[in-house]
Amino acid sequence: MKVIQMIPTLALGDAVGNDTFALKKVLMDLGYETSIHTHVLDSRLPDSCCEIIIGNQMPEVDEDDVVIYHMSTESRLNFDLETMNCRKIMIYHNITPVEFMKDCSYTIQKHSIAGYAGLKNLVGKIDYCLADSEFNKQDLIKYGYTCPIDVRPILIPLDDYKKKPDSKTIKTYGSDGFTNILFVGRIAPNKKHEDIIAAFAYYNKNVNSKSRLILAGSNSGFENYDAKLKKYAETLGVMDNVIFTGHISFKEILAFYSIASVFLCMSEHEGFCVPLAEAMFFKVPIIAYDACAIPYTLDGSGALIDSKNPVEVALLIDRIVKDEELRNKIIEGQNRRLEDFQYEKVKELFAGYLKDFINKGKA
Amino acid sequence: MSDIDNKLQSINIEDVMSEIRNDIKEKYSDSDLTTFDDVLGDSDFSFLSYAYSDISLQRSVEYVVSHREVQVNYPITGNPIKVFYKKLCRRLMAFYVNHLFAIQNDINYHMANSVFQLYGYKNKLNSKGDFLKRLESIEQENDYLKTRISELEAKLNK
Repeated sequence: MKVIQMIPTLALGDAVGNDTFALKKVLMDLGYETSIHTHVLDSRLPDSCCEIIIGNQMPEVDEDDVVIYHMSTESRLNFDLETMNCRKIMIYHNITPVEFMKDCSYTIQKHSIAGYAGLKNLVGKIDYCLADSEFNKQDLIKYGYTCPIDVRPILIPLDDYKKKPDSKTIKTYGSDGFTNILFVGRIAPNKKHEDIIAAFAYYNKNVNSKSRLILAGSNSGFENYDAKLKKYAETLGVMDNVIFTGHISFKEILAFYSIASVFLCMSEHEGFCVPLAEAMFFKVPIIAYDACAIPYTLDGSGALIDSKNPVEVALLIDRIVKDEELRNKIIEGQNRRLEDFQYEKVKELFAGYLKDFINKGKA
Repeated sequence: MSDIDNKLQSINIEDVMSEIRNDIKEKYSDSDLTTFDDVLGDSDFSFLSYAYSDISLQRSVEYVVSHREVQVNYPITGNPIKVFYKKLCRRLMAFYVNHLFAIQNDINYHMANSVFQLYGYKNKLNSKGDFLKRLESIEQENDYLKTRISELEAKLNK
């Protein structure tokens, strides 16, 4: 019996791609014959890391084999998967709803609409689901999934974060006495960078002029939104203190985490939000807006707020930066939560669910 | 969620927020920041003035090439009534829209081809540049060796 993984696009540095690679290692450790199959492989990854699916030529499987399908976007796999005569598990990473893409190109909107059409198509054709968060589980139930669904946090290779951060970045932004406010995530409308900029603008102008906002993430596919954000920062008069990093190396990301005073997340749609776990790892206190999967990922840690009022957020940043006791309390809570994302713990959880599914015929 | 609520109480973020709200009333002016919606959309193409990046160019070229064809018959979604209505509209408008799609696809093909050709030409220039650099270094080495031979010959003749 083999357990194979299928993913529409296997990309370098992408949370879903990282999860896929980490699961491959887990499956190998568990002694299963396993492989990764994808339609699109990031050109920066070696060809040998997976097998390419051409058109509708799905991998050959036996009835007792298990396919683990990573669902996060539009793909023909959402329709071709049903032709595979084997047991199917879907790992649901969530799809960004089209409401957040109203100012984006038709192609971007189509990814979302067609993604949800694919999700609906798979109702009744999947034997078992794993959701990254309780929020994702509720999403599946909302779309009519009646198969068993369990929640398993995304596998984050936390050991990778122990690598040496980029020293040039640390020297440039970490040694001038500025307070660095950080958000990590691709530039996309669902992440509400504008709310981060608004709060930062108030903080920078009225509370602490020696402060900097670092927005780390690629703008690929959302160039217009990115341009509008830059214009917004200019309009508010803080563009000189807002760093749009664009696509950066992993070492640079590590450097930004290591010099951050606060991690500020105003996102309104996340399936899990890996950067929150990353901020926990680097002991950066988190301020996050209470929406989507964020309260589940934080699970009581960090500073979860229900307001986007820029003044309130700015003053909370100030309080956390200045009040050591509060900051330490937040970090303590985050440390506790981070335990739940440790590789061995998530690996055990996944292995348990998988064995249960295979042995008991969970369907 | 009750667990989450319990843990939140230990951090007392709500208390901190209440204090902050009181502070705002007493010390700080409320925000009169321009909202994001007040910012006009991009009309001056400032986003095109980014510094040159190989990765960005490669991604854009890949995107243009793979998305050049606009599909007339994209999947229609919604409830059965909506799907029927949308399909009906599409069929009624086909005589007008399909022609425009064909023209647009023709333009897209040539645009994508131009971009792809330029990208290929740029890569060719890159490799030509590498070749010229190597040639230059070999010529320099050759000059040095010639000089060295002359020096040694002069020493030998003495």
